Amino acid sequence: MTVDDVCDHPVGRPDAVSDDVFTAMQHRHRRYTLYFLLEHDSTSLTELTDIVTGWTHVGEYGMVGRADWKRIYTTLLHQHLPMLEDADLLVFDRNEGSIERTEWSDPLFRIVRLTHNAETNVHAG
Amino acid sequence: MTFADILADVEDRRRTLVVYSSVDRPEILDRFTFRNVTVERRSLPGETAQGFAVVRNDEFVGSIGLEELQLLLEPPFAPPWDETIIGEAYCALYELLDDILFTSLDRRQLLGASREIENRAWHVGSGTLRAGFQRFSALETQLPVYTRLARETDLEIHVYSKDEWKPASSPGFAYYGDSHEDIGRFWFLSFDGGGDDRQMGALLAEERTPDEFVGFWTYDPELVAELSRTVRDLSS
Repeated sequence: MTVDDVCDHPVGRPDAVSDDVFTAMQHRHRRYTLYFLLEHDSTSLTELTDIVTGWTHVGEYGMVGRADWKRIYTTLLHQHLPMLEDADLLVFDRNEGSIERTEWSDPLFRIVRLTHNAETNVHAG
Repeated sequence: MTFADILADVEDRRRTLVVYSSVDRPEILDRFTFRNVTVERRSLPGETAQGFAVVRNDEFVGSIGLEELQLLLEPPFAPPWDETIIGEAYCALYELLDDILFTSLDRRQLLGASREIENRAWHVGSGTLRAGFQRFSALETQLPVYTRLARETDLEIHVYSKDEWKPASSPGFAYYGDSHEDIGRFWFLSFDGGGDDRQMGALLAEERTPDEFVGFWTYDPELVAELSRTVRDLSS
């Protein structure tokens, strides 16, 4: 075992959250995907695109339209969902367009919830 | 086509409104009632105030924060040329919710939608604006707006009401005191875009109970043209 292996998989802490999760959370659209999965076990690519588009544009009136939606759909499909799947945060069925949350550990739930509360200005949550 | 046919046409344009929120917002959502819209509710985590609504036909039409949606309930009073109020955001909100048959619009909300269409007319500065008033008193209130539009632009303004009235003749302004029963039963407004289809807009509403209207606004060029045709036919 190399030093790198030790850092990637902390010995004796099976609940620890992997670095992949933090990398996954660097992008706003991936974070909002995870926020929705706090509440729902599964969704579809179409609905997720509605959610990411609507939620990240709250406060901007109806300026967001079909073109924004298509752009977000494409990057979710080709970039963000594969990355979230690689981080073992969800399972994405490309044929069905379905998304299912994996079994998240308690620490992972806590991190996503905390980030959600901070980013969406939750006063109590 | 009659006004009733046009309302029926709009009723066939199905929409879905999906409301995403972590807490119920009945003070906003219960005040909107529709004929052609299916409302669905999906929960968001926590107690975030940032709820939003997504409008779909078979595709994504647009989305709006629930707070922003409140503007539609009590639109500000402003003349159509006041673009500090009737600006891009104001227009975007009305565009998002066009072709929706609302069942309980009040006078203020219809005035808000009218201002958006009149703003287009003001902005383009040419073309034909047709406005129908149920009551002469309503026309009297709006007369200063329409005379200024006629005076300061190249718009042709045609005003309809069932009452007899002889306005002082002025260029660009025509009054039709008509006896057709639909004039007087409906509140209508249409702007032909002055040659630009993207600027077309129309509104049609019927007062079913006092200060409660069934109606819609639209930016669909075909529907705007149909409404204008109907108005012309009624007054000819």
